Amino acid sequence: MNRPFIMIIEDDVELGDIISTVLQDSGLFTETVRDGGLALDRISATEPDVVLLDMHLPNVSGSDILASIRSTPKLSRTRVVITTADALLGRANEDKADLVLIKPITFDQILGLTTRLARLS
Amino acid sequence: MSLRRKTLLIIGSTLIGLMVVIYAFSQTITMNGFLHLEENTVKRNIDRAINGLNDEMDVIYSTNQDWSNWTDTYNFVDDLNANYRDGNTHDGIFQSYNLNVMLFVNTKGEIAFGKGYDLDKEQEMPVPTSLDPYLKPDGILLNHIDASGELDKAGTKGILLLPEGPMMIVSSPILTTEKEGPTHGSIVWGRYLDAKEIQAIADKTKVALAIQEINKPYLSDDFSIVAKTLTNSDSAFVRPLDSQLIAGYVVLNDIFNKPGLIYRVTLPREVYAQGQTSVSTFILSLLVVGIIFVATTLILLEKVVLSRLADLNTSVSNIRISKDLTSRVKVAGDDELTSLGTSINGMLEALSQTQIKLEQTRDEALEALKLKAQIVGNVSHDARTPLNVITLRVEMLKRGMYGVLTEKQIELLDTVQVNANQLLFFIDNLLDQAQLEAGKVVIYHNEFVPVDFFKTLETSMKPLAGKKRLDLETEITEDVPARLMGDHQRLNQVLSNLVVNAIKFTDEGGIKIRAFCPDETHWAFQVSDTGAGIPKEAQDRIFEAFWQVDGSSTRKVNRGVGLGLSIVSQLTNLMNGTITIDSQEGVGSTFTIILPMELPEGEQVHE
Repeated sequence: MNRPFIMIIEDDVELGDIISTVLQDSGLFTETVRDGGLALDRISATEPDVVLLDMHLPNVSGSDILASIRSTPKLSRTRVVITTADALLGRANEDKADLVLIKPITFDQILGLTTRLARLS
Repeated sequence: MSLRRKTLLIIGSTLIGLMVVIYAFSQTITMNGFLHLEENTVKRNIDRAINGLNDEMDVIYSTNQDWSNWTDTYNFVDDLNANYRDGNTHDGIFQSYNLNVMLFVNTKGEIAFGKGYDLDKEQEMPVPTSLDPYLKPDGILLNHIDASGELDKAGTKGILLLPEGPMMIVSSPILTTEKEGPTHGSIVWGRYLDAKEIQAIADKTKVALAIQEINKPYLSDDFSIVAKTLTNSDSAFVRPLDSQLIAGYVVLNDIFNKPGLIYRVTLPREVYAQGQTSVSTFILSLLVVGIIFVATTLILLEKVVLSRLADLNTSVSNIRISKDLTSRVKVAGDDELTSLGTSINGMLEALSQTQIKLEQTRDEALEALKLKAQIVGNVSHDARTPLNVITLRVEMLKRGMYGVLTEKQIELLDTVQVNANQLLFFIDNLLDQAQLEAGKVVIYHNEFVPVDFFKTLETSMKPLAGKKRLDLETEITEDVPARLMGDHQRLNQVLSNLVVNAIKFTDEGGIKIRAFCPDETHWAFQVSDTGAGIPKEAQDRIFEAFWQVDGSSTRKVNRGVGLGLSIVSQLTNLMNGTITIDSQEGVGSTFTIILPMELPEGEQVHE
């Protein structure tokens, strides 16, 4: 994976900014989307390597976005990392996602993201 | 014992008791009456038999009197003329008068003429010599002078006991037809009182008769018994021979007025048999009536009480089994059982209402718990994102992403981080407790690596322990498998809570975490501290939610709301584990959690 592109879908502006900053500082490309409806269009358009997906989103929920990614053939290589404050919801989607991070996520978890995903593949 | 059997027993035994009393009563009173009647009947028949005998005697006597007061006889005793002899002493006379002996004795005491006759053989026989002792001039038969010295024209009659048998004998002084004297002697007639004679009397009186001389040694059984008790002729003795026959005995005096004969009358026990039949019929009819009574009572009881009770019982049992409080027992009639049925229905109605209310209350409570979990979940969610921003910003600051910081600033940021983590931990517990109450917690079974698991935990807890300058050590014994199955997130919650608790209540020393295998099918972990310890009396309650050990010594460290151990206990139960405490006040506490060992494929238990 050469300079992977990471799509951050997070409705909290500040948290989205932090994650994006940390990832860009470690040399990755990122795009941050706050709206669920918009997220689907952007994923489809950019075909990111990794999607950091919050579950509670405006308009379209994280679960629906995950289902949509999994049913789109051209996104079959896209890795999905769920980031959610709802532990029950996160665990319920554990088998569909590549990784589940329960908020609060730590600095180390964000930094270790690419390493862990590489290990998974 | 069933009510049916009891009733049958009570009525049955009452009836039997009643029958016994009535039977005894009728046997004694009624049968005594019948026996008395029987005795009287026997005595009457004895009288008849005696009369029969006397009648016979009287016939001989009156004929003898006719002959003695007759001038022809008067002359015959002197001249023994052939005319009289041939006309009056021939065999036909003996036969028609049933006589055995006819004697004409003159005044000198000599037998002028005497003839004996055998009535059975119908031929003449010699005059029995056994009569001789009684034919003396001053004897009872020939001496007709009474006590005043006058001639007793009535003569004498009676029974003479002769060696060959008793004989009815009469003797009259011979006078002229005008009954004038002086007497020319005596005319003596005799007839044996033999079986034939007795039978003749029996035929006339229609009574079975028998006779026996008292002095004879060969008295038959019953006569010998009677001979001992009967000594005079005044009383009669009645004695049943068997169930069929009864006998009456009376003593007959001889011509000398001394007891000479026992006269027996035998009768069929008709009266007694009638009495027996009457009593038996009475008892039998009573029995039949009794049985009908018992049967009727039982049938009525069955219909009116028992079957309805059984129905009630069945209905109540059915309701108990089906647990259907809306069904009702059948109520019919207008009596105590009806009101019992109505009462049961009333009770069922009340129970049903209560059940409905309870169900409503339970549903409401469950709904409230779910709502609570929902609210807490929302609160938790909404608190986590800002908390995450705080912790990440602090981390970025510490890492110098916004410029170089002084040591003091870094130290303060550490404090912010620890406090943020404590706040997060508290929110997690609140959420878990609500989810446990609402039954929303699911236990997953995933593979995890114990060494990594304990390492991560130690790392996350180190800052908290360091804040109180406490040591935190982890030891994993070699027998713990490299990989295990389980819900590592829930295990983390359990262990974190125990460690946080240990840190909270310990001021000096340290916390030790130890993982080991107590046996081949279980693995366990222990959290030991050197803290204040838990009093014995409090150890049972520490797992209750919102409960804390109270007291001034622990108060200063008593932070939080007391959810930690409650969550630990509930999660351990959900994972089929057990939790034990070993604690001593002032020394420290050790919590041990033992869990069933689940191994991933390919993993083996260490020997």
